Amino acid sequence: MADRTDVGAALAHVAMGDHRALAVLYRATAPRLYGLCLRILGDPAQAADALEDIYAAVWSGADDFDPGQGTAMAWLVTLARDIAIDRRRATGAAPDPGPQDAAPRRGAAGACLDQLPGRQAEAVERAWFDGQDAEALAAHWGVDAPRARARLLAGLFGLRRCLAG
Amino acid sequence: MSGPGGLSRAGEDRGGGDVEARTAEYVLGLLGPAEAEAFRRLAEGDPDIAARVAVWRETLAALADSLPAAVPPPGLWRRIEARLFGRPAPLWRRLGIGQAVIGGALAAAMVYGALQYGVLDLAPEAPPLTATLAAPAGDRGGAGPIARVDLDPAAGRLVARVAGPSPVPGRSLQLWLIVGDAPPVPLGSVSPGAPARLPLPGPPAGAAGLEGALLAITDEPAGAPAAGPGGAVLAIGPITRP
Repeated sequence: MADRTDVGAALAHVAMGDHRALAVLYRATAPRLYGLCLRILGDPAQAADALEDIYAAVWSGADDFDPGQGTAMAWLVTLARDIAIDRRRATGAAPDPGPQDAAPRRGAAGACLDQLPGRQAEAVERAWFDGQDAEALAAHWGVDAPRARARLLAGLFGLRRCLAG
Repeated sequence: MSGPGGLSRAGEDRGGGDVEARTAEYVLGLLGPAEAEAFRRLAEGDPDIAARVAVWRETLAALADSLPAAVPPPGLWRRIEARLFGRPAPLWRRLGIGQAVIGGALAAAMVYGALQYGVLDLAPEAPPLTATLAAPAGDRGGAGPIARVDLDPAAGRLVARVAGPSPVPGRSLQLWLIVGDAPPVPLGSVSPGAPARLPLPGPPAGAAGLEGALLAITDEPAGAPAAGPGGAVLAIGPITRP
């Protein structure tokens, strides 16, 4: 995908200390990552702070990217998600509780989630966007942890199979 | 609990032994700290595990695209730039060229270029030697490249920053060192955009010989540098102390 190729090249230049490449990377990726931070943190000011931390982490950690472990874009999104989740746990910033389905899901991943049983899709989203583990999911649904975990894994494998197919 | 149709039972967790489930949980950050660290080391050493991590990272990262994109606050990049790089001064001010001397369009291009440059990343103190290159006297003004070159003879290197139009495809900008009557020495190609870090030939600590020498940029064919400059001199300037 041409977009991912550009991100990979920009990241390689960032790893060599090229300031301009970080600006290029920001232009190409900031809207996606900011949207992600908004979903995880629920607050524009926290999301902006997280975004700043993310690009600082990219600047200092770009040579940690290992192409054998996925694309540059996936690395970036994973890094962003982890930083935002850490900030959420540290500050308590979170979106308002209740269903996060105000806006319809988009893209290929959105279509795949829509096709999963509702609880499985919910499990995947709560785990990834809200940092919930099996215990938290179990408490939310009032089921035991192994059942919650199985539901999450079923959702994850269903998402993966759908995206690959 | 039922799994999605068509997925083998091996793909679903049955007590934590399945490597795919474990990998997914690792990527999700659901493993405890010790487990996660052990898994990270495992992935580093084992290409098969690394490949499984890659697939799960791609899968989960796709979830970001299920959300609407959002425009970050307008000042945020400047904030990031200031935090990581410090605020750049406009290039025309750093070159010491008055705005009246250069054409308005080129001045605008130079300021825009400065926004992309970031700060000098040599040592914070002033470079031992420097040169400002501009169009040769007598040329009708302002349409060619302008450059600032910082030289560190003791370290055997230089950094060249160029503003102005990029060479057309098939052509390149070549930097030359002219010491006294000696033939020009090719230093390498330069271009607007990222600074060119080039080796500076000659004996280390040969600063005395360089002061007063000339640097020039000429228009050359792209590819291996020619033995001598063949194209037009686009910019030239003397090497001086800052």
